[in-house]
Amino acid sequence: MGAYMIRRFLLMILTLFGMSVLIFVMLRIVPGNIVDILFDSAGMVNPDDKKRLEEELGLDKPIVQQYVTWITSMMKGDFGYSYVSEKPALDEILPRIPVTAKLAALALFFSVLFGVPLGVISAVRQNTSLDYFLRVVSLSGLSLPSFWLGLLILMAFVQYTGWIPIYSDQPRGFWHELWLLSIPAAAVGFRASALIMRLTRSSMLEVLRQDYIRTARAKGATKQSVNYDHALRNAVLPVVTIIGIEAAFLIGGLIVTETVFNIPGVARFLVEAIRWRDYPIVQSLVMLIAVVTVVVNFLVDMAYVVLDPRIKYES
Amino acid sequence: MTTTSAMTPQPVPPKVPATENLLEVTDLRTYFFTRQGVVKAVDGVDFALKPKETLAIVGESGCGKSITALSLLRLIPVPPGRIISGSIKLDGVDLLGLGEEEMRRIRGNDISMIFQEPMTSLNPVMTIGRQIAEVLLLHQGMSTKEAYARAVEMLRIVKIPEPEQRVKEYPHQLSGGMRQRAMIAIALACNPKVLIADEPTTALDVTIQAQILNLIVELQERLGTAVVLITHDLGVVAETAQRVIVMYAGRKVEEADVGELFARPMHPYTRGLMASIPRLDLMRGEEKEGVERLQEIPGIVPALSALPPGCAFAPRCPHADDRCHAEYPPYEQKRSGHWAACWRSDELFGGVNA
Repeated sequence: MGAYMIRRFLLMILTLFGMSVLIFVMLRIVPGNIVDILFDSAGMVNPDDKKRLEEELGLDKPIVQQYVTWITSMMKGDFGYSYVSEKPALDEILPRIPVTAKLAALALFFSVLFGVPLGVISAVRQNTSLDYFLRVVSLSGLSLPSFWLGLLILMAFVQYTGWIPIYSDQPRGFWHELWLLSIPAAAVGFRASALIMRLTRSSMLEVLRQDYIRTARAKGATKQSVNYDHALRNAVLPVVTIIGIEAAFLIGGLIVTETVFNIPGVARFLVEAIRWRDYPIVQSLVMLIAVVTVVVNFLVDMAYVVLDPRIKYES
Repeated sequence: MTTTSAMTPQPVPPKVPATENLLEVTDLRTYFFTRQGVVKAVDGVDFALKPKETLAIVGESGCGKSITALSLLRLIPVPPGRIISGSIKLDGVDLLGLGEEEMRRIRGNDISMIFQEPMTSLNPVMTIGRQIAEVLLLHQGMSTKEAYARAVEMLRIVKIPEPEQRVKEYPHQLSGGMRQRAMIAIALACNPKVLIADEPTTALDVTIQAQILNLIVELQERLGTAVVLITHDLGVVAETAQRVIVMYAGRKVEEADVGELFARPMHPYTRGLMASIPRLDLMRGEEKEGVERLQEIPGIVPALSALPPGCAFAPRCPHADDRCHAEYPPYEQKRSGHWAACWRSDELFGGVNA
């Protein structure tokens, strides 16, 4: 187990290194940098000014050198300065994390809360009208883009009925904030919950055919116990994998949803930063997302050991 | 088939006074309603089981033995299956008339079951201890602590070494034989009246088979459990059972005490099963002249959804004549306590009508 953890940790470092190269190169392949954009929009045309600004930001140096500078300063905890606000990147990013983290956690929580039990019900009631209904709902969940769903929700509940207040910067207390975030979280989490439901269903159907389920019935276990204690504990394993993968996908969904619902989070900020070619911000944020994804998947692998006694990570 | 059997007088099943019988099954019919038609997996089976007795149900795969066993616990998957008629009386109470919750209290408590496949019959993500303790918690009202203590005790009873250690282990950490012992521990934990053992040794290593069988017999004597032993292995039957039922295509074809059956098998199917047991003296004989080859029953059990009009065994029977192909033979007493369904058993095997 110890050896596995170390190997796994080294692999994580390698993944993050690859990520850093990829994002660095990709950002610089995209035509135009902050200087071009500033000059275009402000109508400055003096080439000397432009050159001086590029020198100031270090954009005139070879790409390899720029990369090394970035990595080494990041190692020292210096994430650079935003080109736009000229504030330290961390000062810009950190205050925006909590709202996005809450939104993501809430969305994931919703998707598991609805996805798993509905998947079980759908499997246990296979081929009943309830099963068909749930399958149609989940299929639409997979097919609807979350921003479109978000827009529909905004139209229905905010504009027409006014049941749900639009997100304001200053939520009044914990419950109010939860209420404000729950709708966008549901919009983002719907897709994940649909996927989790379908996977839980098919996994449950597979498990319910197993011999040990017949044994459990022959032992006189209650229906609840057969379905949840015996079957679900076995069926949940592939679902856990998907939850890990969905956690990463969720961030993609958040980018649009934060924009649609006007939530001042990290994901919307990332889009802004890309628009301005604000390299330090984009690079830091993408690295942050990469770290979160890698850590979540590591946790998923560790969860297997707890959930399935047959899995042991030995060298 | 139903029309032909209706023409012949309905056989009277062997009846013993009700009080004597622990389990009494009458005219059990379990059908499966599939797209291919109605599969009559169990078609009018009756038998009785006395306390402490071992009854063997013998037949090839697909002859309805396992469905009979599952029907006793009402574990037939519904749909497509359904027990369409009959009664299953345990101590005089008809199990088919009970509600699902009452039936649940009987499963694992009054009637428990061991399955064929020990490798897959235990839940892979639960410890052995928890799986034994579960039945005790369900039926005996024990506290968790008592149940786990009893689980260790049960593992000791089924002769699993280091029970204190094993109780914390998972099925994959145990060998096939050990898992079947654990299954027996689960089945006997609540001291059931009836133990149904569905091919308990088939999936095991030959060297382990005898051990497991001896364990079942020993515990049966010790705990006074009645056993319904389902098997295709007549060797197993000879060692363990007092009475034997031979099933073919969902029906009983022969029934007798074990000594009587082996001495005077009346049905060609039973004879075929016996002839197909490998015997050491025959194998030695192969070196001599006029070798006796190991017999087999030609063909396979017919599809239960498309049975021939006459005797179901007729297409595979070396003695079948026109009547066998046309009409289903009556199930009748050929000798005292020896029943069979065969038109030609008297002339072929010298049965004396009692």
